Amino acid sequence: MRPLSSLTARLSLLFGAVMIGLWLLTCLLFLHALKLHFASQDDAEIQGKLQLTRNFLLMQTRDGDVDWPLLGRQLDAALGGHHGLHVLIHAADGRLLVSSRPPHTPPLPSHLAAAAPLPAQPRLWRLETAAFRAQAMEVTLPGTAPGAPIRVQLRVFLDTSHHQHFIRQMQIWLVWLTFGLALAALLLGWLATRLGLKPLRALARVSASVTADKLDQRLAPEQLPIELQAPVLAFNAMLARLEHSFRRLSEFSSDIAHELRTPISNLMMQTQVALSKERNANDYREVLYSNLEEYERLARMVSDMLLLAKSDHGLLALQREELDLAQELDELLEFFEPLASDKPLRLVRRGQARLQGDRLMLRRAFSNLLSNAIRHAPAGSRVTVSLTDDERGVGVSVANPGPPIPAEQLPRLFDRFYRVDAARQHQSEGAGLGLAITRSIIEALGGSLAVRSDTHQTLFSSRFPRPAPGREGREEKSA
Amino acid sequence: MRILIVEDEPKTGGYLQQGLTEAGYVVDWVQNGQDGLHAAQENRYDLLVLDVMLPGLDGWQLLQRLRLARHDEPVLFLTAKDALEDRVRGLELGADDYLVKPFAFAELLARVRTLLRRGKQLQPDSLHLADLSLDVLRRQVTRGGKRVHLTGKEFALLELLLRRSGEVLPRSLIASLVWDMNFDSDTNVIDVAIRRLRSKIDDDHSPKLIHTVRGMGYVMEIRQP
Repeated sequence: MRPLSSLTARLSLLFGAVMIGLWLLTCLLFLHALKLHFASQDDAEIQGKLQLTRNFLLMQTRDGDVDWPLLGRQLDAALGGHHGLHVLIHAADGRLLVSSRPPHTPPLPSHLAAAAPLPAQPRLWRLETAAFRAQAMEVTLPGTAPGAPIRVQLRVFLDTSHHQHFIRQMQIWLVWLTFGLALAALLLGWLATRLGLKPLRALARVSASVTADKLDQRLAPEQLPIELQAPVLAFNAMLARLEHSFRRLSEFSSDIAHELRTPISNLMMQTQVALSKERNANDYREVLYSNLEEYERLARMVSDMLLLAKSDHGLLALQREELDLAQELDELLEFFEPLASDKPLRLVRRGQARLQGDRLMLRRAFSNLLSNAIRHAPAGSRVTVSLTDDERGVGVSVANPGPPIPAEQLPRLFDRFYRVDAARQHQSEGAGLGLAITRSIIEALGGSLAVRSDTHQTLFSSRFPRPAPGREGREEKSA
Repeated sequence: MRILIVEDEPKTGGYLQQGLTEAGYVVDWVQNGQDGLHAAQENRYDLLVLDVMLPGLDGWQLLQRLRLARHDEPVLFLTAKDALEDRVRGLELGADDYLVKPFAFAELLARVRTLLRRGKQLQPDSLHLADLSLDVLRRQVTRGGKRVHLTGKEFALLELLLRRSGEVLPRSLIASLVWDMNFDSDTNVIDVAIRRLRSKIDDDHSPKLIHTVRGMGYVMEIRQP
């Protein structure tokens, strides 16, 4: 049987089934009790009549002789009012001695009359028209010569038809009642379940109303039953995450569009102005060169954004190789050496460290930091790269003296397209994605990046904690 | 030297053809994979420039078929997708190089030249241009008979320019080959490095050998004033 896919159906059927089950059990017990009651009642009556008959018999016996017809008449008189009572007395050889029954009652069917219930054991017969319960008793007549006792058997038959009829009627009533109750139970069960499951429907409604532009819906867990609180809290948390991701995504898209606008409109304007009148070849060349610079900036921006988009979705395919960070950073410092000595600046690397990481990406990340440090360090000063490697993990930090970054700007430093001075010098600065990329790369490799800035120095420090033992290097999703 | 370009985007294909023709190559251009396969099998080309995204037969399949048909000309892939898997796949299939759009034409040209040069000539141990001499083994540079002292990287830079004299080298290529910086690094550094190199080997000498090609890169050559 296919499992029921509806909670309501399942619950109401279960409820209905249990109720019906209990009811049927009760009915059965009731009917059984009823039968027992009647049986014991009837047995008591039969016993009583047997005793009565015996007493009469004994009273009538003189010297081992009984006036059977007289006894019969006496019994008739005594038992006449009792409904459905037959008394039979048989001799030891089976001769019927006395037969007594209420007036206007047909005699017992012969096979009944002749049948022999054992003493002290009730027997039941059910016929088409009637049901009988009977018991027997053996009586030894007194006053006869010893050695030749006369034994007779007393039998009392009670017509229990009315009882049987009553029980049958009860059964029929109960069956109808059962049907009715079954329906009622199902209905009530269904109603109760529906009522009980109302919070689920509310949940479904709220879920249905959540769309990409309406992600701020939440369910109130306090109003819900305890069992639903855990899933609802999880649901709310999921919505919060989705909302966050969506917001980031749409911010990213609008940032990109926004950032691309300026260079593109510059390009258009330049070209339009150039074309607005006849110019000499040199002027055209100038325009083309200027456009070219802008294009290159755009290409870089697009490529940077692609990197960021990939890292957002954990799609940065990172290699893992054992890197000697001292060597890597020395090579980087060598690259920047011409720039540094131009200012002049000294570049210093301290410490040693080994790290499992992607060489190209780390180069890019640290190169951003170095480039910034060199740009902001005053002439004659020193940019220091410090490497640490201990049981907690690896640290790489880049420090440069110079004017501090204002405290309120520090948290936003890693935002995309954020530039420290709002004036945006397009010549020297890139798109403002450098630090965002650096942080994405570091985080994708399982590390973290932080910045501190005061009058003494500006320090960017990255930490790569040691992975827990037993865990192989896995790509970590960036935040 | 004959080059076949297989590129469906008309502007890209047109400019590529124009640029490479002006650089002195004989260039054929087709716009879909099927035509490309046909052309490559009909004619002998020294280099194929393939776009990956092509209608019908795509760049991958085209390359596979060519390689199966024992065509082993060097192949340069162009694509807008730069996933690592794509790059690896391209190289595994037998491509020789891979360029991600958007790229600078100078970059393309430099790589085309590199691919066409491969296996062709031995690297000489000493290089000369005008009165500039560079001894690769002994790592010595002289100009006008006088020794010039260069740092390790300066030497490497000069060696690169000299080996590929006459070729305009884009900054990104210089960064990649001299400093192993394989991303869009801060190319100001290159400018400063070139300036320093000039001050050592060009400023006090004639003719000037290191030239800036605006918007493209740097080239080392003798130019008639």
